[in-house]
Amino acid sequence: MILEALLQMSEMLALIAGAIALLEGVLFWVFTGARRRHHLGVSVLLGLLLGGIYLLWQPADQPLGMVEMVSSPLLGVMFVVLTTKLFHRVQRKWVFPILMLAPALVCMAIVVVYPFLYELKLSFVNLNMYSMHRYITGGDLKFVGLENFIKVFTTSPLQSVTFFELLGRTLLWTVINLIFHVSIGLGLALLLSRKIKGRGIYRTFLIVPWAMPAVVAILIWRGEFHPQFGFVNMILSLFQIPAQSWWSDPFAVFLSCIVVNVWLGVPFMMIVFLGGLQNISPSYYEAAAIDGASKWTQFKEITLPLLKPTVVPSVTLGTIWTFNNVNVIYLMTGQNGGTEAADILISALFKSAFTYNRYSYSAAFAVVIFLILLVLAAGWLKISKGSQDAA
Amino acid sequence: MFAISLRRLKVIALLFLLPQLGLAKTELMIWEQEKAEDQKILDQVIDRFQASHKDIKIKRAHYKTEDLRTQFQIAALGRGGADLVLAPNDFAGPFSIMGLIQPVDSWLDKSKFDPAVLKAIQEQDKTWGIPVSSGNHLILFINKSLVPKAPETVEELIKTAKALTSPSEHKYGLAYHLTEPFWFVSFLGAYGEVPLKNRKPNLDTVGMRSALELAKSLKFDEGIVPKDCDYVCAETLFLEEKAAMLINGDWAVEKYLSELKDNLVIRPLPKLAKTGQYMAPFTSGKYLLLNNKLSGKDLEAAKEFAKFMVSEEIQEVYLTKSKRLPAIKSLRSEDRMAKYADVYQSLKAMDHGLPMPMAVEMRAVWDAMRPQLQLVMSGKTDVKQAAKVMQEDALSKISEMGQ
Repeated sequence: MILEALLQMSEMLALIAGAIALLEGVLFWVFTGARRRHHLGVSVLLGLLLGGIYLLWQPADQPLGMVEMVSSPLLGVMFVVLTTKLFHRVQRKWVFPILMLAPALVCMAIVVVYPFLYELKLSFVNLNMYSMHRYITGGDLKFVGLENFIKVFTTSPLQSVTFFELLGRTLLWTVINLIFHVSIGLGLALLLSRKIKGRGIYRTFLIVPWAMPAVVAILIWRGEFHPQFGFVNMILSLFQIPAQSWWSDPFAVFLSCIVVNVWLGVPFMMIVFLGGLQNISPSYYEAAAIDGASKWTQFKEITLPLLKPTVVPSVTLGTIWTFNNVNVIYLMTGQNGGTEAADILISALFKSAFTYNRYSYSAAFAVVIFLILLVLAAGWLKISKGSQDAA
Repeated sequence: MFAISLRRLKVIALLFLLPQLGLAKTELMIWEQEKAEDQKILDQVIDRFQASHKDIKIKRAHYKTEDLRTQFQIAALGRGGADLVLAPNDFAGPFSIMGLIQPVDSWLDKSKFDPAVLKAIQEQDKTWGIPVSSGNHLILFINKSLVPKAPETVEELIKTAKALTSPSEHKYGLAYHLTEPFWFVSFLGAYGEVPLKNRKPNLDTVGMRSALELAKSLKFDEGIVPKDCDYVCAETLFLEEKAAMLINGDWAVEKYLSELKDNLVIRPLPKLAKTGQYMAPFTSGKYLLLNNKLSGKDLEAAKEFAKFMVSEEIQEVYLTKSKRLPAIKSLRSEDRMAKYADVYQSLKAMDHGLPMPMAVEMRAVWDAMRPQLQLVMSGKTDVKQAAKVMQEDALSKISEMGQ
């Protein structure tokens, strides 16, 4: 069994290595060997080969559609044009960087660009449980224009919760989490940047939530929030606070999800800020101390501005991760059968796609979420001037 | 320099080709969501099959239940996925509509299966899978050292449980997964109702309101069940002898037998004396579903494997090793089951059950019931409102699923 798995992995690796070698070979030929007279002829041959591979890639049990018939020669022509243009336009000094970046760019195209374009395509058609069979057997999908996008705003992805309720909850979820992630992370980073005894041990313990597999941590937390036997209610009872229904009360479920996500997210911010703090030269603080600046003034005038290049990208990343965090909600609310009271946009999207099989609707939903995040991230970067450093 | 002659090249090519020619095997992939112990049994079954079918190789991959559902759909979108899927009947509902699996009526000998098990995998006059086991139904587990006489009615059960309940000591008469509709459906059965009738939600009914009242009263009025208890909590309480009785599925029989041994008693869910009807759990089983892409040699190999899985020999393996009820009639007779006394009561409990519909609408019904059941069980809504919202939500979700 293990030998078989190793063989399969080796085959996969050999395939990837072969594909990269082929790509690099073709590019190398385009840039260097293309000076020869037969360049155009070889280009056309390779273009035809590419078009042929595309056709062979199509399912054998189905007749070729118009799209495939047009795409195949188009792909070949594009290859010829691109290789000729590359030969004429690209300066020699760019050849090596292009050769080095090519495998990564191709991988990005396969795992990011192609799925994104596929998703866009799905959002304008009507793929759902009932049309799936037609799609699989004949690729026949009805174009529905903006219908799916309209439905995103007018129908519920789950039972009764609306898009705008989910959006509000998601924003609240993101803001609350980020406030705690940044403030606690920064606080701990400031403490750990000082020369205190056992600093390494504290760092190790504080990083545990980040090092632990999230699924394990979330399920353990779910147990701790058990309404009757969980640790949280036991602590509350010590303070005469009545036990909460953490698994069924809508507000309590949402609150428990926030607590878990704060616990999971703080170590990342702490480590990033700690790195940023260690890059600030102590001489700034020494000069400020000589000028009589208080600790608060030093923090406000030195630490925060010099930490900005670290804070802005980490907060941007934190916003996107928290906004798109499906794990915590999905596992804390009891996975597929959970309450919709704690769902955010992304977990609702997941359930609408794979519980209710509304693929095109979910694709449109995903495009809307992508646009929201794009606007939020661009706005934040513009306001914070995140691309500029503090100097 | 070493030169390779044409003759040598031919020999080398032949060496590479040999395995592809004569020894070529039909390879099938099976995806399952079995528990750890049953995975081992399946591996043994596969080994036995391969020993007698040298030309067929079967690979197994395990997924968690929801992952299996999701991954198969994604793979099928790309025209891939496992050749065989071993799963409960509700998988077949969406898979059949999406055209991901194929009907088996043309070659399956349906007469050898228990009719109820077969019915649970039939929709639109077609059979969408091969029944491998039956059951998956709820039964009453009793700790004999705490409850010497098994209750026959719900009223008796409440009385017995009350005497054994002491929340301050974390001791309860009964435990079950309070907010999961699969458990609640058996309460509904005691009022003669089913949640889905002719593929239409049947939730805003007198029976539903009464069933919700009954479930609610066990927690708030009688106080015989622990508050907010989920699956793990209920099971832990029972195994730690802090819950005298437990409502759980037949899949747990083997585990509880090994833990409680002679102290374990298995009974069908009791009758509600008020209505004269038994609590009716949903029954189904495990089914082998065949990917729609299967044809030719692969399909023939899949059929061979399916037939092997439902042979008396293998059905008995499952019955002996994992206490899983057989799907074939020949093993379910009273005389054949006599030597399996520990699971016979489980088989009898199926008599009061109802085949779980495999219709896709059931998904919307489950998801409409769950939040309202949770609200009722946390005292945040009344039963009349809950039943009304359940019905509305189920109807709207069914209509949206088709859009």
